[in-house]
Amino acid sequence: MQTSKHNPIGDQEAIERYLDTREPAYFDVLYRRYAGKVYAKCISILKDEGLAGDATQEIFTKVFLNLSKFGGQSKFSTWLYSITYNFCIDQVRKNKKGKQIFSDEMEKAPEIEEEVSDEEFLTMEIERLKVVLENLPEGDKAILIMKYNDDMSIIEIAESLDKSESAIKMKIMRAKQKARQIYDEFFKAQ
Amino acid sequence: MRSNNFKRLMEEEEAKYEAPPPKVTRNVEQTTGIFSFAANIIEIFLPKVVDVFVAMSGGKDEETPPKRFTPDQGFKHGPGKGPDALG
Repeated sequence: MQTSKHNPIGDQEAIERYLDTREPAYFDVLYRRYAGKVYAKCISILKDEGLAGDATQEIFTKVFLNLSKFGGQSKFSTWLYSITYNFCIDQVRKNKKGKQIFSDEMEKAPEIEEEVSDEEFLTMEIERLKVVLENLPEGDKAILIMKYNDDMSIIEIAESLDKSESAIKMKIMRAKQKARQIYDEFFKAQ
Repeated sequence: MRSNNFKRLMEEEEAKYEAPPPKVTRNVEQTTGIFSFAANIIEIFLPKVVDVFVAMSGGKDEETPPKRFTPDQGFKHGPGKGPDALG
């Protein structure tokens, strides 16, 4: 393989070389680069290391089989993470057997009295934020990770979850509202 | 740049998992290896399999011209005056 630690090939180049040569070593470059990140994202949504391992395996198999469909319009990481979140959300839906996993789909959706600002959400103390995220519905958590960790645009999130942009904006707003509600339940008295 | 504790928290979480368990990596490598091998086999042998089916169904390879008989040169490839033309 023509890669080295000092001069690693980029994602796009690895994909092109793999498609030209069908040499699995080029796919391996992508796997080594992203497997840990995908696994961590799966754990944070599925909350189970065994399920996350199985999900990681299936996601990379899916990516491998569909690599020729990656058009390069977005970054490879954005494409890969979209597949990851979609897969995890589907898994959670299957395991919950029809129960809703986004706050805005629930019967008791939080009332939107005032919008929670990004500032308020992003400056929560880390330990408290951890508690909030652990208690958020999985769908809400996934969408907030896409927006605030992976810096995906509303359009990119909408495309990857096959929803309209306005639906995604509403989901983000509801998810932040739910996060504030959980924060108040756990920490308001303190 | 605005503070983003959300990102910091996720980075901490990701740092715990540099790679998935070895079993997952092994399975992914096996899968990609099998699919690559199958793709290579198909790429190499599929055209030959098609040729075999064409031959079995009575078709001919059109790139090779049929042998023709000429009185002065005997049988040779390519268009020429065959026995029909002589008659």
